[in-house]
Amino acid sequence: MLISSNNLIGSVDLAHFRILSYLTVLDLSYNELHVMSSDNNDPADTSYLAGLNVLGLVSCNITQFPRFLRHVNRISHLDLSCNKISGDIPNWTWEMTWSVRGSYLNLSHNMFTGMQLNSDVVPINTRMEVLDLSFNRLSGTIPMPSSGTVLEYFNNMFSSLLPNWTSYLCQTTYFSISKNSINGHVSPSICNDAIMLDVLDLSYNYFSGLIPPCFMDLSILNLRENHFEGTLPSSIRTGCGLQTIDLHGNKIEGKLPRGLSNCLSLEVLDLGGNRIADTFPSWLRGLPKLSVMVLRSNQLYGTIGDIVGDTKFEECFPSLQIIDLASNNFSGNLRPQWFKR
Amino acid sequence: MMAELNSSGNIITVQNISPSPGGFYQDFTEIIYKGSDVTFDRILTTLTVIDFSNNRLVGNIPESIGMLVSLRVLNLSHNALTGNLPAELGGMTALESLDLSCNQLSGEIPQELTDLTFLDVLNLSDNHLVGKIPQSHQFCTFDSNSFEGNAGLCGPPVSKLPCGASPYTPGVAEVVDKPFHHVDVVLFLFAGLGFGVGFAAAILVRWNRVGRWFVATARASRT
Repeated sequence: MLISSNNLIGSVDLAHFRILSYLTVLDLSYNELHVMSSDNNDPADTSYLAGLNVLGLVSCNITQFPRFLRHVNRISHLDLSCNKISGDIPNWTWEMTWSVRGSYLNLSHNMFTGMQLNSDVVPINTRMEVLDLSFNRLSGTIPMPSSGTVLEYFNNMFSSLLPNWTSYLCQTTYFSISKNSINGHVSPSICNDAIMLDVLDLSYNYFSGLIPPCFMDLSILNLRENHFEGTLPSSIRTGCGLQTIDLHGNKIEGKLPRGLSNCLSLEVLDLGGNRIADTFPSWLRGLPKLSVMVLRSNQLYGTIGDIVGDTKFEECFPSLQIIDLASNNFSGNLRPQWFKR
Repeated sequence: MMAELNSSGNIITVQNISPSPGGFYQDFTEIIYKGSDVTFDRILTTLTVIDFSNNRLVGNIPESIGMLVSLRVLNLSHNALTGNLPAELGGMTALESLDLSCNQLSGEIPQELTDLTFLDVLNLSDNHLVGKIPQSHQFCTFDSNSFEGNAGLCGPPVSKLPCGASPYTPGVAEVVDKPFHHVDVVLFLFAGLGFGVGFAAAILVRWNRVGRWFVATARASRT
C-alpha cells in the first residue's frame, strides 16, 4: 500500500491494519498523519503485520518506536526518518531478520540518544545497503555494521571511532561522520581497506595528522574544519575522478599539487583557511567543470592569472562562477582581459 | 527505488519509498556575502562571486568589468587600487553587493552606478572620492557608512549641505552657523569684561594717588 506524498490528515493506528496479514509493503510517508501503533505491552497484541518487509513512515509525527516491528518475519526496508522518537533505538532492531539481499535502515532526523548495543559493532550480519543515523543525539563510539554500502552518521554527538574502523569499510562507497566531535589520526590502512570508497565526509571534527594519499582517488573529499596538516598528497593519477575537494579550515601547507590539473571532473575546490604558499594556479584553467574556487586566507603570492603561451583568455576557467582569493598576498593589476568574453 | 519479492513470488518494484538515502552528497559553499559569512547549502549557477579583497592589487579597475552582467558579488576592498570608478560598473546589472572600500580610488561616483537596481550593499568608504553622491534609485537607501572616509564627497547622506553650498550663505546655512554666533557673543563679553576691569583698576590706582595727593594738600593747608 503506497499512499505517500498526499495530503492525508488525521490519526492512524497501525494496529487497525492487523487484518491485512498479507501486507508486505506499506508507505504512509509525507502526509499530515499522526501514526501510532497501539499495544498494551501484551506480546499477542503487538504481533501484527508480521508479513511486512517494506515500511515507510517518514514524517508521520511518530513519538514511539513501533513495537510490532519486533515480530515482523523479515524486513528489508525501514524508514522512520523525520519523526519525534526519543530515547534509545531498541536492541531488537538489530536482532530483526534483515533481508539477505541488502537492507535499508533510516532513523535520521529523530531524537535518539542511544542504541542499546552490547559492542560497537552493529550486529546485522547481512549487507546494509543504507544505514542512516544522521541528525540524532547519539554519542560515544560510532557503531559500524560488518558490511555497509552507505553509512551516514552526520550531525550527532559521537566522540570516537573503533580502533580498527577502516576495516569495516571494505564494501562502503559513502561514509559521512560530519559534525561530530571525533579526534585522532586517519590511519593509512584506510587505503588498503576502503577500496570501494567514493564519498568521504569527515568535516567539522577534530581530526589531525596527514592526509592519506588515496584520498585523491575519491570523488568527494570533504575534510573541512579539522586539524589536518602537512602537504596535499601529490600522487594524483591521470584519470583523477575528484569532483569536490573541500579542505577549508585545516593546517595544510606547502604548494598546490600540479596533478590537480588531471581532475577533469573537478567542480568545487575549497582550500581556504590553510597555510598554502604558492602562486595562482593558472594551470587549473583547462578544467571544464570547475565552478567554485576558494583559496582565501592562505599565503598565495604573485600576480593573478598571468597566462603564458598562446592560450586564449576566453578558454580559461570556462565554468568558474565563484572565485574567492581574498586575504592572500597577491599583487599586480586587475587585467582587462579577465572580464571580456 | 528497490525491488522485492512479494508473498506470491512476483517481483514488485517499490518506487518513491524515500526520496534519496543519505548517500546523496550535496555540495555547499561558505562565502562572505553582503558582509557576512553565509553558507549556501546548494550552489546554484546564479550565485556568482568575485572576491579579491585584502591583497596588494594595484592599478585601475578595468572598464571591461562591466561586461560581467551576471555577477552578484564583487569585493575588491582592502587593496591599493587607484584611478576612477569606471562608468561601465553600471553595466553589472545583476550586482547585489559591491565593496571597493579601503583603496585609493579617486574621482567622482559615476551616475551610472544608480543603474544597479539590485544593489543591496554598497561600500565605497576610505577612498579619495570627490564630488556629489548620486541621489536616485538604490542610492537613496545607502547610509553614510557606505561613503565615509572620503573627504571630498558631498551631499546626502554624508552631509546635510547640498554640494557647493558655502556655510555663510543665508537660509539653511544660517541655522548651521548659530553655534559660531554664540561663541562670538561670549568672546565679546569676555573682552568687554576685561576692558571694564582694566579701566576700573586704572581708576582705582589713580583715585588712590588722587586721594593721597588730596590728603597731603589738606594737611599742608592746615599747617
